[in-house]
Amino acid sequence: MWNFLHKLASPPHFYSLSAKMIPWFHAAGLVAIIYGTVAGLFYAPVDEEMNDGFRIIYVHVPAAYISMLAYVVMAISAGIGLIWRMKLAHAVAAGAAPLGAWFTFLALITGSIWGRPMWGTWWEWGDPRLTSELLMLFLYFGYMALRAAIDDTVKADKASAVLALVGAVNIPIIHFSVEWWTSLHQGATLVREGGPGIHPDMLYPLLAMILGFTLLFGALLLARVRTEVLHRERRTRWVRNLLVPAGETI
Amino acid sequence: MEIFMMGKYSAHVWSSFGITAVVLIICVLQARRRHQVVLSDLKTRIKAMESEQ
Repeated sequence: MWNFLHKLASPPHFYSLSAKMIPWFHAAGLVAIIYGTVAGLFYAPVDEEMNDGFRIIYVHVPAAYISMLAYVVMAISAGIGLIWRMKLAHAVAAGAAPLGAWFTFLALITGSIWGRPMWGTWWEWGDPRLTSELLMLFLYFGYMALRAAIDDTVKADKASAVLALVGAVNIPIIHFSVEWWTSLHQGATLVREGGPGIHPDMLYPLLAMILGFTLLFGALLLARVRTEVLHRERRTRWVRNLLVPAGETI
Repeated sequence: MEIFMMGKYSAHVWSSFGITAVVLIICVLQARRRHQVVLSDLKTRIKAMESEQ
């Protein structure tokens, strides 16, 4: 196991293995998303209270879930990079940030489109769930800006890792905000005592969407980490040999 | 065509799915583009370095 992990963390090995894995993640993610979209839009029964409006959850919930998953991946990788000085871990953290920002943006936009008809407002300043999710978007921006501002990769890794770890405080706040304070946002539907409070015909497309988004996020993260690894290893022999095969004249 | 109608929430549902599709496609294209930029950048740099030697 350790041997496998050690090998995986070696940049040239990661670079070639990830290339083989990315298409599979893309394909599997696409299948799940297509099933979830078709079933969610056309086959799931109409919600009694929210009519067809509830179908927004099929994109909103997975986007919000990935927005937080990306942060957890980023913070844990940043922590591993800080403690064990593992370069690949910092590359993972750096790759997760822009993806996290996109999914947070998506969660906020689709949530806003939901809020207009359901709560009568696009946005509510001071609402704990909405505000903490927005704060996460700024944490992602801050992380990326900090990295971009520091030329030295090692210094950028360290400084941005500290920011990622400090900002991780926001994750439980987002998650429990709807329990701790009064919020416009509804409570948890899937993860709660007594099982999911939703009809199976509504539930399965949602689970498929969550799975599909997770697989797609996996593919995107691998792709971004690959690019990051290539850039970080630009002065090494293996990158040189990869780009200019031996024997080829320049 | 009736199945595409989402009652009074048609615009909300379709715009949510539309924006999601656009953002996901941007994510895929952005990752691909970045990789190509880094690749071609490195190739140029390596060739410049080795032709100097």
